[in-house]
Amino acid sequence: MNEKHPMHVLRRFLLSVVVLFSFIQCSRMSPTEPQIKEASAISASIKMTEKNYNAASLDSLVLLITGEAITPIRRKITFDGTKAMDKLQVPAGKILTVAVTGYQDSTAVLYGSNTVTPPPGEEANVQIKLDFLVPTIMLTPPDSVIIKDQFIDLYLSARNVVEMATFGCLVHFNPDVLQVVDLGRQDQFLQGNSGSIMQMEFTQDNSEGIVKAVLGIFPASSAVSGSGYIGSIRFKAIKSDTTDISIQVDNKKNSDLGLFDKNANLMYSVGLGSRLYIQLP
Amino acid sequence: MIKASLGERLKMRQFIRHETLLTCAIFFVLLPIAFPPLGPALPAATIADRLTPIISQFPQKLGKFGGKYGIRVHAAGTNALRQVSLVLMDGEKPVRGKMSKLLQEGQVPVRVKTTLQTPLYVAAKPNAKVITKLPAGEVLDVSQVINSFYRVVSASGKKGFIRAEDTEVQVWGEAYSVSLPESMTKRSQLKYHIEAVDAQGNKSSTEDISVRFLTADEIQDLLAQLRGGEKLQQPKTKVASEKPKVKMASTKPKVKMTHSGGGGSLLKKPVVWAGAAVAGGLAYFILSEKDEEENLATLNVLVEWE
Repeated sequence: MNEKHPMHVLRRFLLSVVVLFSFIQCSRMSPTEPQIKEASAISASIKMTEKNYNAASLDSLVLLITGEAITPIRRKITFDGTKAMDKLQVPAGKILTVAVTGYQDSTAVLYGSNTVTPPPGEEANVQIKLDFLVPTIMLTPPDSVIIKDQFIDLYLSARNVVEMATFGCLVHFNPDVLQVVDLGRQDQFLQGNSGSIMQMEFTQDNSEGIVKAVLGIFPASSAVSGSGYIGSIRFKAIKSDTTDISIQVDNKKNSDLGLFDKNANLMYSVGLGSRLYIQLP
Repeated sequence: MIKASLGERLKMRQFIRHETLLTCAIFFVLLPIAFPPLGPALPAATIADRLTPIISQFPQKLGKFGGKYGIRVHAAGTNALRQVSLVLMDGEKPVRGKMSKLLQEGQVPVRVKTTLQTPLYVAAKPNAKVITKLPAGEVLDVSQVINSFYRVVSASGKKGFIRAEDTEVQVWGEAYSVSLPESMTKRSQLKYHIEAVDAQGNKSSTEDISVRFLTADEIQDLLAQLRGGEKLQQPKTKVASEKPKVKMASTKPKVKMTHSGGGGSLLKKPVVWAGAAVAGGLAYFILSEKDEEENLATLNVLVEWE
């Protein structure tokens, strides 16, 4: 029994080494988040749930950090108002490409990237400006700081539209914080192709907190492309708060909404709102 | 005698018909030789085939009931692809959804050719098990790039991973992906296929793929079956398995217990070794993490659209 004992110990030892290495392997490979894995698939999701009225009504925003000889870092980040911020640990002293993609209904609608070489043990900042991959209707400026009882003009703007002939959107705001005092058209862009503008609706409802804008270009063959202003909305801040103004262009919920081309085809589009920081005087 | 009977005249007519047919046959045989431009008609058909988009996929036939199910393809076309769609065969009416292009992945290989005899691995690791060796010149469809490995499907249906360096890319394309939400995977089975349409309207689609969604219990059963069916009904056999334990404890002589006591018994207990291994691994993990921290930097990312 005693002669066999060293063999027993050796066998146990080998077994433990196997367990040890499998444990180490697990501890090294196990992801801290479900998304961060060496598999290079990004999952955009088809969301069935109704979107709320945030300034950025995107389904997801995916941050991807890549570089030479590093495992890609992939994580979901979220917009707070019209900006998204994240702080994370990355390999130092290497040229990193930081890319962000915004998805709506599983389609990439926003994309931006930048490179950075973070020094070891220090903090580095990287700013990413997102480009519009699909026609976009947005409120500009994306965020503003105003004083209570002051007025602010926000512009309804089109970005990357292609032969747009009709445009319809709903602007949602919190009527307890903001009131619309004036609506104005910005005709220069829509008349850019020598067409005239048909104003089918451009109204406000300060009790519901809605502005509805439905404008068309006549004839439809004078449809416009590119980026420009469509209209302006003058808000009065009646309460100090931080509030989001959102844009709805979802044609499924309201057939007036959406962007249509000169052949009356609905264009896939996205609406991006604005955030106001209202301070006390 | 001179006048031919009706039957003979009919025979003569038949003879004339045979001759006509022979002439026609010769004419059709000689036609392609006489008019060579008609010759390339056949290769033209193969060019048309090449114009249709290529979709490369490595479908997972099993999914988790109520879990997310990701679908990913590599697709390319001679013309730029207009859309890659997922078509779910949901009841009578198929549901169509656009698959999003993974822009950040840039150009990805869709079809490659092996440049030399290359091993087909089970996983994307050089030390992974080799399934088979693929001959040089084998054309493979690539559905994913993991590190420096391609996830491939051969024309003969062999699936696995090969080293990127052993191939030359024949067709480059783009990666597309979509993930089905939990609400759509709460069913036992789902059929789908992928469609790709290019700018010229050329369309191609994969075969119908059937996915089975398994519940946690079904997965456990399946795993148990794979291991030999022993753990098929774990909760039920728990009570039964307690019995022999008691029996063993009662039947084992006390002397043996004392004999194996002391330092020797501890070394013989697998739990002790496993515990030591876990503790060692934990220590190694903590120490190695410290080293890693020294090579890390903090990155603040700010994202905005205008």
